[in-house]
Amino acid sequence: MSFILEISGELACFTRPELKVERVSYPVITPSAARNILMAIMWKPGMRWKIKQIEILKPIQWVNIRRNEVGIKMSDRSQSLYIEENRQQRASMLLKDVAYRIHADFEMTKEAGERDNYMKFAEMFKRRAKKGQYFHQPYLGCREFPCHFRLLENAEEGLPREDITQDFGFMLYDMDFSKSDPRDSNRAEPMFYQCKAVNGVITVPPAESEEVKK
Amino acid sequence: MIFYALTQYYQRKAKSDGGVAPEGFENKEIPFIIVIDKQGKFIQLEDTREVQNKKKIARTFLVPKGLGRSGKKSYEICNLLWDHYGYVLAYAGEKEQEQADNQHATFTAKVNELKAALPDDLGIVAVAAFLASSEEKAKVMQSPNWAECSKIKGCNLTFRLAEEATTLVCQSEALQHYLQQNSQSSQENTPKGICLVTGKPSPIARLHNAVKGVNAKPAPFTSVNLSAFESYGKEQGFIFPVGEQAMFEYTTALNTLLASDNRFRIGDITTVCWSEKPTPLETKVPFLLNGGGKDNPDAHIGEVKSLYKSLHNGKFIEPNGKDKFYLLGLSPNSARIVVRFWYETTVAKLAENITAWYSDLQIIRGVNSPYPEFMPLPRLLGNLVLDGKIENLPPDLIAQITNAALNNHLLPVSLLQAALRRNKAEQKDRKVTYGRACLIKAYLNRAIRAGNLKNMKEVNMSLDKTREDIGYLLGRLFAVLEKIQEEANPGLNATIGDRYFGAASSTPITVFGTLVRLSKHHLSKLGSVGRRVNLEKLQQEIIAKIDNYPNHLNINQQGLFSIGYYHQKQDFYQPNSAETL
Repeated sequence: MSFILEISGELACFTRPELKVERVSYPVITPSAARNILMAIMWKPGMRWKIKQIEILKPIQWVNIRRNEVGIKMSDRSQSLYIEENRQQRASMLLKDVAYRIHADFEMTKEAGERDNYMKFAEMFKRRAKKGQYFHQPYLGCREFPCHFRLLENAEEGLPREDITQDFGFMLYDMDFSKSDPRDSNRAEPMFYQCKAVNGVITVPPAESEEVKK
Repeated sequence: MIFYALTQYYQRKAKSDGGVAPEGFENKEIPFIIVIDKQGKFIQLEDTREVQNKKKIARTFLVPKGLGRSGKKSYEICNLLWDHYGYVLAYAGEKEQEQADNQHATFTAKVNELKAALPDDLGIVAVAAFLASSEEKAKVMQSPNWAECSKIKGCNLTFRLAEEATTLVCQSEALQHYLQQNSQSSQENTPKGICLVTGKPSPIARLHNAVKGVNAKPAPFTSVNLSAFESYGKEQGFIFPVGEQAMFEYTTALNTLLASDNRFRIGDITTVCWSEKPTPLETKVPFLLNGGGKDNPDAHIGEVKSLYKSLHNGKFIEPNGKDKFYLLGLSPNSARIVVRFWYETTVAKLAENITAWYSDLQIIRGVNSPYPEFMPLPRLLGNLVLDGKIENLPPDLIAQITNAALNNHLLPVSLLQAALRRNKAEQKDRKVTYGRACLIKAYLNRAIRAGNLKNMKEVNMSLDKTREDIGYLLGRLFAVLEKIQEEANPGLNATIGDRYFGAASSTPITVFGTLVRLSKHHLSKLGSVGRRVNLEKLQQEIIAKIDNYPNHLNINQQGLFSIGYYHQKQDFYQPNSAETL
């Protein structure tokens, strides 16, 4: 069973890891950002979201802005952080006016409880997505770029696809947390896959397949 | 994508003409070479510098890659068989002698180590012998060229055997082989991961090589130097895993591009361009947009004309049209490099876009105009600021205009605002300059084509008497009124052009009443009746189309005002116009 979510936003930044300091975005949404949007709407430790397909609904446009950012991390023990001493001005290359249709599914994990099952979570997700309910505001890559979403029954109800056929090169697929401690994110390794759009459709390979390089 | 395209460029260059340095080597400028014989005896100190543009530039040589060093113990790191005079000769220059002695000790030790590893290489043996004897070293300092050499701070030196014509000691085959073996073994120690450029598991580069030509000092393209950018507990280069090979390839490719003709600089943005396969357009794009520089300021006019020829009905007809073309715009930001824009397009599209840019800019200019037919971008942008100082322009405006020119996009409205502001601020003949008129016309035409300005037709190259837009008519009227005043009172210091342009273009109702009333008096002062009748006819012709003077002109109408003014003024200079006698 596949869930279809249509998302849109004014600005998006799916940051490339190599250009993380002066941010440059990927041209399309990464599977990890898509997963995050679904997790914002509904997630339990017993679920694992998998992205199947991404459809591009608007042409790829870029915009360049300069922002004031902070250069250091705040530590747990400190009370405050004086921005003035650590101010950095950085330019970011972002995507403008984005819209995607995400086809995704989830599977149950080991942490599912006794009374949890697939249908229960599926109904919960559909209810929440229809009402517009979420744990935290879903965002497009970075928290400062919120996104609007709506659940669709089938793909034809949504916006028309943008006919883009392009090879975007290697893109971050997601982070592999299999070697991390439970409920932690240490020892996470990035995974990459070759992202190709054919007539506006990106088929995302499953995480275990060969196409995803770990 | 950026890295991938750069690595493709490296591979293309390495296969075709070897214009890029192989792994483990780099192209370095070495101003002086110590020539020695096989026994290590000093023969002479050769100066490799040539005069270029009134400066002495040293020749570049392919030498083993320099290692980065910094800090107190920096003397422990030395380059193989080349370094500055502290390492090679223990010459301290302005620094402390102790530092120089330490450096020299490291250098000598390294050469001896090489000698032990490669006892058959004559060059290395000779260098070792040279370094062992202090009289030979002293002879270097007594040579006539030494005075020049010691003046250069941190002057790099290397060795050459007298028997060899051009090959340096550090370029010998045995040494290259030795270096390759060494680098392979050192790679065993670096952690492995998936390279995000190639997708294959490979040793990951911790620090990336610096890129020269964007910043004042070489800076790495990607770096993480503050804790705010670390994530998932990883540091430095491991945050974005790029394999050593890929890292070497893309940094070398970028450095090669920045040093070559494939780049141009406007404001603070340095743009490099290259294509998948070798194309003549690669080296021409800088000329096309930027003009030729001081030596040949009109070089681009020939290029633009030949570009027009390569198109037919607006479509590119040459066979290599489908090749991919890449454009990367970089600018400095306090010791970091920012990507301003990145485009993947095709040769055909780029050629079409550049010709569309020049076509949009074309506007009438006087027969004896000092301005070239096709204006290069920096000169155009200079029209938007005081004294033509591009540094005072908002940097984003430059990026947006370059983007619009290269991709046939809309021009930003801030361009129109800047142009109109300069129109109001400048005096006399510089009210609406040729450059500004070109840019305003390009802005309006692109906006009209995109459908943003309804019910407006595109602006022509020269005067359009049928045009009814109120801004255009008022601009024309203003030019006519100014002309009448000038002819009535020759030799005026300040015409209505100087005093009333700003008010006339933004709030016409406040000034046009006064101006038309004054023109009656000016007309009666004119000497010849024929002239008076002609000018009055022209004035009436324009006023007939105006219903009433509006309170306020919006920004697009103000743009049309400037164009109308410019067109009418140019029309007065045309020799066959009915208005002139």
